[in-house]
Amino acid sequence: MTTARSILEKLKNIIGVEFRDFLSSNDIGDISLIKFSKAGGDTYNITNNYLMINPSRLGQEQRNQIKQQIIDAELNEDYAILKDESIERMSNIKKNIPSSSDEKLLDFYSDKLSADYVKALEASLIVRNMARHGIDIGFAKKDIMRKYPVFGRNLCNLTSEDYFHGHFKELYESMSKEDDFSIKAYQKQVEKIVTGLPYIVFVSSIGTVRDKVIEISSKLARLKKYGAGKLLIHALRRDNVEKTEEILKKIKDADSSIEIELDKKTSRMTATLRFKGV
Amino acid sequence: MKKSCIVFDEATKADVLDLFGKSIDNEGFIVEKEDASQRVLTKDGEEILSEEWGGVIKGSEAFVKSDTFSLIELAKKLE
Repeated sequence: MTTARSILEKLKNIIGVEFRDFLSSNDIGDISLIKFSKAGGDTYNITNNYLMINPSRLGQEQRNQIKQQIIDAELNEDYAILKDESIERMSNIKKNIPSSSDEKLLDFYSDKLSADYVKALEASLIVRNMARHGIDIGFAKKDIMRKYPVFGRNLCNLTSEDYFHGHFKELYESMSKEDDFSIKAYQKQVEKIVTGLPYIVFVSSIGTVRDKVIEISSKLARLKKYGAGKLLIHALRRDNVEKTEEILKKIKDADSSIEIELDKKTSRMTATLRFKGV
Repeated sequence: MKKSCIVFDEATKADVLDLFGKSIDNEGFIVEKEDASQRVLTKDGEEILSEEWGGVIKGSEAFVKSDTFSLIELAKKLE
């Protein structure tokens, strides 16, 4: 096993007297990392448990020997040589890799959603875990949004709110009982919901009809103001479908300019609301 | 796969790349020093901008990116 001390010994032979003198006049007892760095401006520096070496201040022959005798040896023994920031991020990711129950969740979706959605879901589960442990998730969320600009942000948010643990599984249970069910149809429905945010409202047992009418009216007002296309209302289970029907009646009574398109089954419904002429 | 006790920071990227016989072209991509028209690829066949370069692992000196998805794959391999 390579250690910082064993690498230091090799460096002593490569760099020479000046480096040996530097090491002997400094406390190297706790050194655990050797960092190529220009911080501080010196050729060598010891900070905390780092030995910092500025490679641009070494001769070409010394750099060649470092590459051949140290770096190649590390790589051959399956050590990863990484940027400092990547090490920290990778360590945080490692600590928050999906648990066995999350792995079962990914397994559940692996044959039901597209490969891109499953990959984004895996990353989002890690983001969710990191957030719950108080770790900064900014870089990870940005990476998800960058890789999947159409749905990344929404999928990540929905994962953090446990929609993939609950709602989308229930949706599958519900849809799979329908006569004309297909995995493709389920996939399409999930994608419609994910990409429909923020203009989507979920109707569940939480909140009264009045609460939901207020929520929907407020989102509709925003839609109208910004000229955006549509609002989706989504409900699962018969009682919530009936609740949604009641909500839609009140919405329509309050504003007849709204067009409502229904995709309705006994135990699920998606209503698409649009303003006439938009 | 294990983490080496050798790391590098942002400021020394060009020097570390030079150790591997690579440099950075005028569009910011990592290229072969001997042939600047040849861009270095990840094992998935992606070109690498120096700003998104995360390090090197075994496998004919496989260059890895520093984005979350690349780090997830590395984390899974890490002992």
